[in-house]
Amino acid sequence: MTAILGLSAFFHDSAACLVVDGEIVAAVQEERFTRIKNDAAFPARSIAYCLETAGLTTKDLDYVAFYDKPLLKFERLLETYLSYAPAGLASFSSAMPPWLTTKLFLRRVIRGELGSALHAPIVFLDHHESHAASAFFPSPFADAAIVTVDGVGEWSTTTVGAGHGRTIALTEEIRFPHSLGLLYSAFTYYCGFAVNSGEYKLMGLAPYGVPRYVDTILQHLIDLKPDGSFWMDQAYFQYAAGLRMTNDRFHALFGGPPRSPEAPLEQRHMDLAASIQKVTEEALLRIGRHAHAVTGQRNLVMAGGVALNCVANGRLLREGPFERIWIQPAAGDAGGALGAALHVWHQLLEHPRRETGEDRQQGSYLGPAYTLDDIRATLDARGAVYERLTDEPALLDRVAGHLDDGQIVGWFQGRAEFGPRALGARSILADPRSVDTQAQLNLKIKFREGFRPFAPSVLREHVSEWFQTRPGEESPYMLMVAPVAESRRVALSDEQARTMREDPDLIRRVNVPRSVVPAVTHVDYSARIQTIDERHGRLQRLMQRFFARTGCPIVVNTSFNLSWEPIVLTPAEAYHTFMHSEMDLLVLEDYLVLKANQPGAAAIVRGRPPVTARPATGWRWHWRQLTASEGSAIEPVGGHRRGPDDSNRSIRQFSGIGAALLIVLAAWRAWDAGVTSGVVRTGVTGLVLGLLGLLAPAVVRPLYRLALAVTAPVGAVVSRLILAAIYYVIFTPVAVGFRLVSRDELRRQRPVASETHWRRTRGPRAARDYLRQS
Amino acid sequence: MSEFEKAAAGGGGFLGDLWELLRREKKWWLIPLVIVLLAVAGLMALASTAAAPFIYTLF
Repeated sequence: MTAILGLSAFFHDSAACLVVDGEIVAAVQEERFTRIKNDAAFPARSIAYCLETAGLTTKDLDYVAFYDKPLLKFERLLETYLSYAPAGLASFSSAMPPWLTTKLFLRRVIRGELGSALHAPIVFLDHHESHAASAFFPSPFADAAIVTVDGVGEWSTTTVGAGHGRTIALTEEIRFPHSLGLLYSAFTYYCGFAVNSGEYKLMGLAPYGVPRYVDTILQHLIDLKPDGSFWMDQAYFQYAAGLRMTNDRFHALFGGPPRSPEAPLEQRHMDLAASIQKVTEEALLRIGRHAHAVTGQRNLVMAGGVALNCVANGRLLREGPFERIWIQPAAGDAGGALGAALHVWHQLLEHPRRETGEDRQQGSYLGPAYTLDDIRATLDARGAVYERLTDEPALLDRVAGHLDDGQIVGWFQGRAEFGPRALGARSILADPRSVDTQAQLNLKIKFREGFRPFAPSVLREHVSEWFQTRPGEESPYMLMVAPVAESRRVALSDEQARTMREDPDLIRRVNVPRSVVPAVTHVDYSARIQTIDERHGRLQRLMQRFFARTGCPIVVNTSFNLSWEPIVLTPAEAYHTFMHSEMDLLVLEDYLVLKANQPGAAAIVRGRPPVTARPATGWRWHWRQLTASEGSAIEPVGGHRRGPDDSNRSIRQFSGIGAALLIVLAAWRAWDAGVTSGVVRTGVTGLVLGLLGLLAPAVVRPLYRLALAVTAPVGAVVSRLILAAIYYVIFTPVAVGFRLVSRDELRRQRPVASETHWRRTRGPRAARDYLRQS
Repeated sequence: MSEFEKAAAGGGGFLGDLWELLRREKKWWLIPLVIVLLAVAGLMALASTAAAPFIYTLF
């Protein structure tokens, strides 16, 4: 048996994945356990879950695979500061501490976290190699072109290559700071949404706008070649060595400062969203055509954050050169854990893939499941009133009936999803035919002002009857957008058409019914579809019942969470979310819980819990954006090493060091000036401190805390000053020297008459390089 | 046994990885920058122990 643990951590979306003898046994994102969205912490609980699922411990692991190469990333950071110094100090000062305490020493950090029982070597892959592996190895294709597109890994931001059998090879790349992902994030930031999580909102906003800024973007911001390669004019951006995504020149180009989150959305923002969406789609189409041309493959696999842009994916499938496209459902950094583990198994350990024509993602149901006993105990502990229906047809008939009645259902079945989408394991389901469903879901379940419609799950055999797709088209992971079929659309009255065109309230616009399934139809008639087949288990059987009853093969499928939380994981979280929203029915495996029957349900306060801290608005929001990014607009949270604690052990160390220093001081003064009363006092104080620390640390604790409290702020200030001195005294002269000799590592200068911006990659690595952090 | 399995039997360390990076990329001029930053890293490591008050005082 060979067990490989894949990890992604310390940047965002930490996750763990366990592959045993080539099979994906478990994969989960740490946020589901910690309940912190996009949590970047070391995925200790995810690892524990993965090992427990396989009945293993850390000593049974054969390899630990980390999803990127930290030293290469650090080199990119240094090169970036050398390209911008003396500008960039604020970014440098806040980026360096997490790097110098943790991220540079990840091998040691990982070993420390996994404990001394771990004997497995730690393998470090390139970030985009991990993405590529996550896309190709689980895909149903024996051979395929590969495209990865995200914000940035080490240096690459976009890569193209191919997979054959058990190997992948990335042959071309675009390098930082030229990045389609960061371009999209720059507009996300500019339109007032959070970088790294608000990109979906920008994509959802795009259909409201007119893409009138496309030419401006292509003329000023990005030089997009016919082969999909691109170069970005960094004069408009600040993400490389700053704490914001965009700068004043960018703001002047688009008519004003960035929107604050609480400010109303103006038509300008919608037009900007439409414009950057169109540019992104065009770029992805060209990259896809290029990948097809250089690889000659009929199929394509994709991963990286930009591969979650399902509107662009839909266009690539419909208008691009590929017959089939498979996208890793966890296309963001979490999926890197899965890719890293599979890469070790296939490419490095040289095990062939088993080709079945089906993908190996298992519906992406790779997370924890809970037993009926767990669920019953949870419900009993909360005094819930419930029924258990062991007869599945009876259960599904009941649920289908509730859906048909317009009720909203919390649906909790089997293993949790791996990836950002709820795919039928932790979902909220509703009837898409009702005109009220959308508003009800937004305002009473999600507690958000939603201008985006919800996604439809549709029985695969009916997909082409309801959406403009090929018959039987697959989109099992909700990563493709397709238009609603013409035959399912409804004509608008003049007043409705006017509302759709002019109403400044987007909610009123999206609430105009445009099809017979209004809850899942966007204002441009698009829908983010999930096709349902056998792999979706009980959800498929429920939908078959709903179809038999209503003639509608579609249900609304949205993630089971309140809008500020990660998707629920446990029965307890599901019940809590159910009780704190206006859901009507909760189905936990065989258990059925009706809201109307719950004692005290009416008294529970629904919605967002009271916020004790003052909400960030205006400049505070910008400050939060800056401080949350820890070092640069694109280097989010990172694991700072913990500071000193006040355990007895620490206090003994403190006392020992203090005693030693005082005694040495006393001895030195005695040697210099003879034994005086001061010398005796110093020596005795040292001895007393040492003895107290050893015998009664509690007595020393207040002194220790006081010393920390007094000196820590001094240290914080002085460490900043030291970093500033390093930046100005060492980095800046080197940077100026490089500029004098026209060195331009980041290619900030516009290339002269270049036909392409693609660069050849270095080629395959030597086997030993995979064991290095560089 | 694959090349990778043979390589995995050996060990690796931070300084070796760093040296390999500098050698491969031929970025020798990064050496002084890295040395200074590693010195700061050393101070920061000490500042996360019970010696913190004394380190801060040294600052």
